[in-house]
Amino acid sequence: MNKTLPFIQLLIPLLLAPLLYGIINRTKAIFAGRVGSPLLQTYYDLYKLLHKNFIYSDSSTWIIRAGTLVILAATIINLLLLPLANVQSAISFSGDILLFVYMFSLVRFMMILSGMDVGSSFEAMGSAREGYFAMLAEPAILLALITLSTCGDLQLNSSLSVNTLLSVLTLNQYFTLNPTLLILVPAFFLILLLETSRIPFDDPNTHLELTMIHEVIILDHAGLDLAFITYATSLKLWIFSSIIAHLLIPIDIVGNTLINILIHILAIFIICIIIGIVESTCARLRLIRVQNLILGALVLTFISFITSWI
Amino acid sequence: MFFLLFSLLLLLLNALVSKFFANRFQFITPFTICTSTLSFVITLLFSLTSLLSPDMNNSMDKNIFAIPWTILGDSLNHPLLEINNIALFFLIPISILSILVTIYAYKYFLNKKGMASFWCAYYLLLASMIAVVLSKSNLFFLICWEIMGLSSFFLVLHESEKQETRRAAWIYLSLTHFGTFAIILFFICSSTQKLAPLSPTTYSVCLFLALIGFGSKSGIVPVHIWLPKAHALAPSPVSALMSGLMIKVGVYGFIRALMTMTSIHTINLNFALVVVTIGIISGIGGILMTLAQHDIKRLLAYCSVENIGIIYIGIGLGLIGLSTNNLILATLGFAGGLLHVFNHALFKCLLFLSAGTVISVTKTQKMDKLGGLLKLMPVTAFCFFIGAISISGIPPFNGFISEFLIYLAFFKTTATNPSIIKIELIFIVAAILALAVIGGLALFCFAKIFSIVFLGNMRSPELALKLGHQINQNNQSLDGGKLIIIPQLIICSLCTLIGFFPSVTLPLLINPVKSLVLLSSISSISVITQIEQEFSSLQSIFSTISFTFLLFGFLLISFFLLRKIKIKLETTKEKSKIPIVPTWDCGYHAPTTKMQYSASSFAATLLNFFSHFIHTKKDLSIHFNKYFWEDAKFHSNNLDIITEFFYRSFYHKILNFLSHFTRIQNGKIHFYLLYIVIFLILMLIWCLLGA
Amino acid sequence: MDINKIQILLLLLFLIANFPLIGVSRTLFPLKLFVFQGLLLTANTLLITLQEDSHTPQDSIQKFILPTLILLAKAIIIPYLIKVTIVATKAYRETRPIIPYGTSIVLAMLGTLVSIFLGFKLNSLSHLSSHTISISLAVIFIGLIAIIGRKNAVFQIMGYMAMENGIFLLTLPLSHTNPLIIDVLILVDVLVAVTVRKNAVYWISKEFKSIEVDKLTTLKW
Repeated sequence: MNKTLPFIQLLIPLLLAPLLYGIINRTKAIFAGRVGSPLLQTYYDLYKLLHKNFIYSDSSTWIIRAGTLVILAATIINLLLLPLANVQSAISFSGDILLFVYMFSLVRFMMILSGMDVGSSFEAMGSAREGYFAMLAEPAILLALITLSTCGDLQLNSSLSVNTLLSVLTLNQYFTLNPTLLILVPAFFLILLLETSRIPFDDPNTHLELTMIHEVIILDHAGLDLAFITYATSLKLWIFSSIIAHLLIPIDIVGNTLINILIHILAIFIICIIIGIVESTCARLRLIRVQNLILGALVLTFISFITSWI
Repeated sequence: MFFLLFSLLLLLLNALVSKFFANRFQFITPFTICTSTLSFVITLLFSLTSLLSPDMNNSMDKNIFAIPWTILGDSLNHPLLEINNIALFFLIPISILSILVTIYAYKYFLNKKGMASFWCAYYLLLASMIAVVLSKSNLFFLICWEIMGLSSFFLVLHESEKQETRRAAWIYLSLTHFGTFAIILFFICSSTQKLAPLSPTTYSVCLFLALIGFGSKSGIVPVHIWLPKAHALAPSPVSALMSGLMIKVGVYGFIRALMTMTSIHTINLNFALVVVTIGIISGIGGILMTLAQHDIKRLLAYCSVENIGIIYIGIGLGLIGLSTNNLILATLGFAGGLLHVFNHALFKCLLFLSAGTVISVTKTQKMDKLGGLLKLMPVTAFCFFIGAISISGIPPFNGFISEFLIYLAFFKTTATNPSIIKIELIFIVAAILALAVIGGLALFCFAKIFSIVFLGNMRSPELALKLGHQINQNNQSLDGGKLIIIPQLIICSLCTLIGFFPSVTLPLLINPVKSLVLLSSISSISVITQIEQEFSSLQSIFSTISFTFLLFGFLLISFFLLRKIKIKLETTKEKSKIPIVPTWDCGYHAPTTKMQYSASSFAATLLNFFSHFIHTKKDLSIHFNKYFWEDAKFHSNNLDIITEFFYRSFYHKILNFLSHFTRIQNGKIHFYLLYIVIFLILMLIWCLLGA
Repeated sequence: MDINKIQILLLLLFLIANFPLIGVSRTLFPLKLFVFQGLLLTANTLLITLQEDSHTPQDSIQKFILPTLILLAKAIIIPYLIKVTIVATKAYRETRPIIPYGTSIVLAMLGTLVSIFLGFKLNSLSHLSSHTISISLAVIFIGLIAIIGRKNAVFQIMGYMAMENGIFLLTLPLSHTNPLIIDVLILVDVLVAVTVRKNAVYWISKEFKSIEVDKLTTLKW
């Protein structure tokens, strides 16, 4: 692993993350027979939001004003911990897996509080559901990271950061490690769908109270706040897709770092196309069935964990 | 040692003076507060300097106090008091928090009359906590333990006109005496080891008795049932002291018991697994019951049960490391457990103090009547926010650091040999998963309590009117004066300091962890160097964490400045302010504040998932007036299954059995005289036969 | 990639395909996974039998009899019979199981942990590899949870099938020491059992108008 350009692992997600929403929407549009919005639509939306005014509810306090800042700052810190194909992450220390998982907890905490801040039952409903589902998914994420820490050459280098865990799949290890990671990929995919509020857990298109979780919390944000939150959620989508791409494709598939990065970005785009396909073909689950599906993700991570023992 | 004795004597003097003179002279109470603050400052400085100095173990004479002419501590081999590393570590949170809670309590009880016995019991509690931590002689330990239990009993009984308070205090007294009984049995069992080595069964029985006895004071499941009742019905400063400090003295007692037992034997693996299991059960049981509460202080009390579970998980992992000769696991497990003791003392006191302000202003403990208090008491809300974030283990505050250490213990152990499957690996994995589940649920609970109490609008219109009046009259916020706010802010700044610069805790932790790890029978020099290596690698990790958190702060500030620039641009362009409008209500005609989410509805889906473990009792009463209904009430209550299904049925069975004997006591005098005559005749026959 | 790794992957997929039996309320989805399990068992048997040497041409044809029989029985006939039962009794869902979905999944995970532990302990006693023992025991446990925790009789048939799959998996590696006839007999036994149960369920549903098993308690004291 080497660094060709400084901070390239930070610049590329910061620039390309809003493109992922464009890809997902274009895939859904193709399935529906429409032309759909342009691929760069999210960039145009962010630009438009930067010019809009703020507006706040009279029941709201500094929580909703500070919440958006904390969410974006925490997501960028997580981005600093993430490697990009061959390139190391900017910050890496032993045990930073926990900082990774718990920074997302901070994001979730501020989202729940921002939802409850305006004093309306809509957003409170979204907050209650968001807390519930994310709480069910947390053991699955941690078990998946524990599994990654027990496979591969980690006896040789005992640093336990996101950096080394995600770089476990090198070319010469591709076929020996594959059963463990192959079972982990659907689990991470389900967790991605949950954390970024996609179908079958949440519908990002509708604004009906029966079907919203994430969308309803941001109902009372406007202007720069909404821009920050949209950008933060697109960065979150990038982070999770990048994790799955690290588990599917070996990180040093060719010698050249730039081509590795390009292949990685292509893998992320393909994952977004798959998300679009899932969104077009599945329906949103009833809320009491969502817990069973998340338990299914936990079962998959559990089984991949025990493969290192068998 | 002289300093500690001086502060102890000062506290005892305060207790005596308060009892006899506080009701008559007004100046006594502030005077006693100042002297107790002085004594705790002395204790704190002494503990810090002793813990940080490297030659602590060499100066033996200064560390021991013996009174030669008493039975308790009569010589250098059986001293009365002894300072060791772990005692010093526990003295640090005791001193810091006692100062802050006492200042708060002074202002809290400022206008109440007849507080003399309260202050007497209060100072006795503080003095006995210090004495328990320092005592080396077993008998003196028991005496101070009893004083601690009794003084806290009297403190809980402060509002004894309510019947629930009396019941709660009674249950607390019985359970603490049950614990003391187990401790006495433990001391008897373990003191026989001086005569002859213990057999393995006696050894296990001793350890089990220690766990039950000290655990009932700490509040582990299943002997935790006194905790929610006592902490919920005691006055808030007392709850803060009990939850923050007295529970930790229980943990100290357990560690002390381990140290006396293992000086001859090594730690048993099965016992370590039992400790971890009890930690997991307390953690998960505690947090599940926390979800179901809708009373602020009961929720915080159950949260203490959960955090004690986390502390026992940390200590249990350390014990597993000791019994399997795995030094990394031992070091990091003990470090995590001890740091969580300190952190939990900090943020639990903070939460109880803020909740105390809320309760004294709104005169109600039910969350479903509150809401929107952030506008009325901004500083208290901010302190509660910091406390809630810290206790959920969220970066960048101190809860994250202690949970980080416990997770790191697991990761570093399994990274070195993952393919060996042994029974302890299953328990360690279960502990880490339990910790993850507990963290997620704690986040949910504290998001719930903070948002329902402080955010939104007030759910009870009468309360809103009353508090609005109060603000208009005084023209200031309802936070309470400086003496109420400053202790909370000091604790907030400590939480932030430890979160952002965790390396400051490492020099304090290294000596206690060394004395704990040296319990096992491996050779000392290599062990000490390995521990120091571990701590230096922790130092580098913590400095990277500090850097990351400072970067996070920097990003926050830069986004805040961006937002400020945007606001300035907006408001100068149109020369208007940012619009503040009523919340969008989807076109509904008459929204009321009661239409917001309540505490039970917020947690309803989650409780449904765990419905087998939390027993919900629902009462619905509807009054009919011939054809129409006039009044309907619904009440749901979540019961602790341990209380309901174990203690209550056990109690009823014993009552049923004993009620058969009530026939002897039928109240008629003739029968009692007849019993005396029968007894005398039997004695006569026995003596005649014996002779 | 060696044979061992492929076998482990097949066994893991087999274990994963059993979890929806206890976690899902519709009956047709576990049935489709049952077909998938039959295919996995066929592939596993093929791998095991292809590893042996063939002494005579008769042996080499005999190698393919068992996988074909498994394919026929477990992947085609039995699922077809169960599907006919479901359609005839209109038992497409089970909404209120005795052990709820979440608890049964957690119990199944605990059972898998215990069976891994047992697999390691029993590894030294027989020459079966530890992963075969672990996964068979786990699947048997999952079948047991399905039988105990569900009221719908179709789920109980499928739980029984899962247990049979697990037992079959245990006996597969012994096939080169036993004659072929034993495996064939096991399969025939399973077929007969399923046919009998299918008919029983059908007639019970006709008579009592439902196949909830807890309504069939009129024969108690």
